[in-house]
Parts: sequence; structure tokens; C-alpha cells
Amino acid sequence: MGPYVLRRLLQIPPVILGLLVLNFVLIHLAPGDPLYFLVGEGGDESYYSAIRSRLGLDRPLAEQLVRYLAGVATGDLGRSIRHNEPVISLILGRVPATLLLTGTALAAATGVGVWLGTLSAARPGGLLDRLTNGVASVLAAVPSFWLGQLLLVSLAGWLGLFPVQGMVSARLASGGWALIIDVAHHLVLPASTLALLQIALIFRLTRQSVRETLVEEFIRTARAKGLSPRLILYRHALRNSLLPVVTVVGGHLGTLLAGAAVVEVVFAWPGLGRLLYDAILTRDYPVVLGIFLVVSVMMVLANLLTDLTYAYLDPRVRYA
Amino acid sequence: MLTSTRGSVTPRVAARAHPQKAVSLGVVLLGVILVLAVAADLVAPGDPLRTVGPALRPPGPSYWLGTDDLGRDIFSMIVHGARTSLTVGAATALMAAVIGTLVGGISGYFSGAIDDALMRLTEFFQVTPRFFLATLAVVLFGPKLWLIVAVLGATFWPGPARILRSQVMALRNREFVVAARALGAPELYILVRHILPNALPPVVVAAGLQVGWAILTEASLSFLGLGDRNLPSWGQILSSAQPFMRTAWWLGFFPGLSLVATVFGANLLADWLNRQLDPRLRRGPEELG
Repeated sequence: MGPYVLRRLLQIPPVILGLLVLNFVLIHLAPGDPLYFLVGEGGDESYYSAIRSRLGLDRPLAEQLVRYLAGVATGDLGRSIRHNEPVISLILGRVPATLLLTGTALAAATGVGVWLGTLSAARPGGLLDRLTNGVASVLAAVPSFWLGQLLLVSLAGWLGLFPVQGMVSARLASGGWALIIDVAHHLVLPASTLALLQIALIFRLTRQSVRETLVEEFIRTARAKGLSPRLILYRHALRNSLLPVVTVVGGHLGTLLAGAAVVEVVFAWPGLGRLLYDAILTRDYPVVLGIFLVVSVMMVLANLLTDLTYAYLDPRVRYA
Repeated sequence: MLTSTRGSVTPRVAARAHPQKAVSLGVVLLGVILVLAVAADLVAPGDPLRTVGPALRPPGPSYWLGTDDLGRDIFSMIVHGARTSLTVGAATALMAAVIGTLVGGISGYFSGAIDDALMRLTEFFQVTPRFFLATLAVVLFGPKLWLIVAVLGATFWPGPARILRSQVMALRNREFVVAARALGAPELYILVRHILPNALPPVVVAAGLQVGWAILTEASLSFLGLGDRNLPSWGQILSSAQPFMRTAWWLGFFPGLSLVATVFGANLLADWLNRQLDPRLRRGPEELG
């Protein structure tokens, strides 16, 4: 396991460096002075020239790139034009809300998706298989924000079962259990929206994978031994089918975060997506740049974690 | 006009169990959307983004699907928006397939240092969050449809590339390839004439599945206000519907339904293609229980 981990870890720095260079190149390729992207438009010339020399934008490009990399390495992602706060602290302030939303959705989706997928695979063509498969293939075509809008209008609007938007009720300022229950109540709709779309994916993967495992020789052996169908399904088939599911789910973090971004806008959930949306509307370039970087790094780490999990679960990967 | 798209919601369950019906449904759904897109100027003449009547009028005889907050006809915007969605889906998938074929073909055939370098590049684009990269690009360069297609195409190719690479690697030492090499055929000729025709079908399937993804991604970008302002798009109607969700349901309902119908249709066709090319999927496992 050791050499594999080391080899895998060594692949990280070049990727992160590549992302930073991509970011830098995009800023400089974009039409207009990069200065506007960093401090905003509408200042006068003397202000701009002062800033230009302070940020080193009058230096050669190579030197600027080194300064930019050094800045990012020390956690400096620039300042928000609108909030006049460091971008990194704005982003870190929003990460917990997004993690709560995506984490809940992913946990729920994995549980339900794997369970339904296994049950469907056990009886291909059965009623449950046909029903879940049909629903999943339609869900795979539904845009997350539209599903969110539908759930919001019907369950929160017409039926009044859930709060319409936000993460906490304004009148509840107290902490403790009341706050936790309040947040959970607000969480149900956005997390369900996100989870439903993930279930569609996880369900189809699990179903496919279990079906492929069920035709293997060792399943026939287990049946010949007289083991119960339940035991064969869960102990033998499901366990050996989960590897591809782990990989694909881990590799889909980007899709999950992108889905969260638009769902947060629908439900006014105060996470990264909402921050991104506000930054887009107000042309707050440093924040948009910062969110891209932070999400990229999260994806690189998630991929690493997925690969390590895979290697841990399947020894063949380590020696490949 | 919308009856056919609306009809998509009911027959789906039965359709999945019968592949032949599923593909017919896919053809019908995509066919209707395609006809609407091609004949948009005949079905709904005039600029879809002009004001035609009072604001926020519910669906009725004069405005079939109602009007939006600026008094624009929703039906007309949906019909013309079909062009935007289909263009993005087809162009992105095509671009991803072409880049993926080039990278995967070269990588798989030549192996060694070229393969290593190209695979690192592929992995890099695979971990780059495409939605957020597209967001950044549009914010920096302005909302242009070609830019959205370019960014999506540039981030969708790793899937097809990896599939093609493994196909080519499996084929490159097969007897017929070795025979061609022994006859003195040039490497490029072998790759293009002997290996690619055998390796391409799974890439076509992968690209087909990306049509739906690309359409949904463009809709999400438009929903965040990053779509091309000069073109009607379903995501943009949904974005402007957000403040009126609870007062004017028709603003968001119909464009959302059009998106589902299109992406569902595209996925059904891609699934069908997949089944045609992968005989393993035609055989079911032994039943348990």
C-alpha cells in the first residue's frame, strides 16, 4: 500500500500547479485589463496605476505568475470587490453550509440507491426493477433546479410542509436543539432535490454492477453450496459489486457540487453556490476565481481519496 | 404541440422494460423537438424575445403557454430555445468525440512517453470541475454560446478518449493488424483504416450520452444568468421564472418539461445504441430467489 500511496500523492502537485496556471492564463487571455478583474471597474487612472504597481501588474508575465503562485500558496486569493474582505475567508465561511447539504444528499442517495439497485438486480424484469428503472431514467433527465422549483412550489408553497427558503428561520435566534431541528427542517427539500438526482445515478450503477456479478462462477458455487438467496445477494454479490460504484460516486463530486450550486440558488441556501451566484451578478471576479480554485482542489482531493479507497478495497489496483 | 412532450411522463415505466418501445419513444421525443427547432420560424414566426402582450398572462387561447414578466410569448421562446439546446448538445458531443478520438487513438496506439503525457493531460481535464470552469470562462469572456460549447467540449473529451485508448490498445496486436504491418502498411494508415473503424462504436455511445449532459449543463449556466442573452434558451426562461415560482407556475413549468423531454429522448437513444453494440447487455443474469 505504501508505494502506491506515495506514487499517487506525487501526482497531486503537478495537477494543482496546472490548475493555477490555467487560472492565471484565463485572467490574462480575457478581453480587457486584468486589473479590472482584480479590483473592479470605474476607478480613475491614478488609482489604477497605483494599484498596478502595488500588485506588480507592470512586471513581466513570468514574474507575475510567480507572485501569483506565491500568493495562493500562502492562502491569498485576493480581496472581494464587493465585500472588501479576503476571498479565502468569504469562501471558508460558506463551505460548512455546502458540505452539510451535499453530505446529507450523498449519504441519503448512496443508501437508497445501493439498496434499490441491489433489489432490482436480484429480479431483473420484475415489477420493482421496471418501476425503479423507469423512474431513474426520467430523473436522470431532470435539471436539478427545475426539480427544486417543483418541490418548493408544491411541498413548501401549496402544502406548507416545509419552510420556503433559507437555512434558519429569522425568528429563531436561540441555539441548541431548537436550532438543529430548524436547520434540519430547512435542509429537507434542498437535500432531497440533490439526493433524488444522485439516486438515479447510484441506482443504475449498482444495478448494472450487481447484475454483472450475479453471472460469475463464484455465485453459482455459492448457490450450489445451498446458501440462501439473501446471503448470496448481500454477502457475495453486493460486496463484489461496490467497487465501480465507489469509483464513479467519488469521481462525481464535481457534478454534485455543480448541482448544489444551482439548488442553493433555488432555495437561498447560504453556501458556495449562493456566493458564486451573487459574485456573478455583481461581477465580483476575485470571488468567482477563488471558488473555481477551491472547488478544483476539493475535486483533486476527492479523487485521491477515491483511488486510495479503491486500492484499499481491491489489492490488485496497488500492484497494477 | 406540447401534447407529445407532455405524453413522455406516462409511458416511461412500460417503455424501459421493452427496449423497442423505449427507442421509439426516444425517436418521437427527439424528433418532435428537432422539427420544432428546424421549423421554429414557421411554428412561431417573429423574434421570440419581443414583447407581444400583457405580462404574466396564464396559458390560454391567445398565448398557448402564457407570457413572462416582460410580456414575451413562452411558447415562442420554447420553440426557438430548442435550437439553442440542441446546438449545444450536438456541438459539445461532436467536439468531445473528435478530441477524444485524436487523444485516445494516438495515446493507445503509440504508448510509451506520448501515452504517458497524454494520459496525464486527460486526468487533468477529468479533475477540472467543468461547470465551475465554464462559469469562470463566461464571467471573464462574456456570455457567448460558442464559448460555452468550447469549454464544455474541452472538458467532456476525457471519457471518450479513455474508452478509445483501451479499445485501441486491445486491438493493436490482433492478427489482422499484425498482418497489415507485415505487409508494410504505414502506421498512420493502419491506425485510421484498420483500428479506428473497430474501436469507434463505444466512443459514439459515450458521446451520445454526453448530449444530455451538455444540454443540462448549458441550462444550469443559463439559470445562473450566464447564458447568451441574445438567444432564447430554456435555462434562461427558468432563471427569470425563479422570482415568480409561486405566482406564475407556467413560466418555469413548460421550459423544464421541454428540457426533460429532450434529455430523456437523447438518453433513450444512447442507451439503445449501447445495447446494440454490447451484446453482454442483451443477456440477463440467472434469476435469484
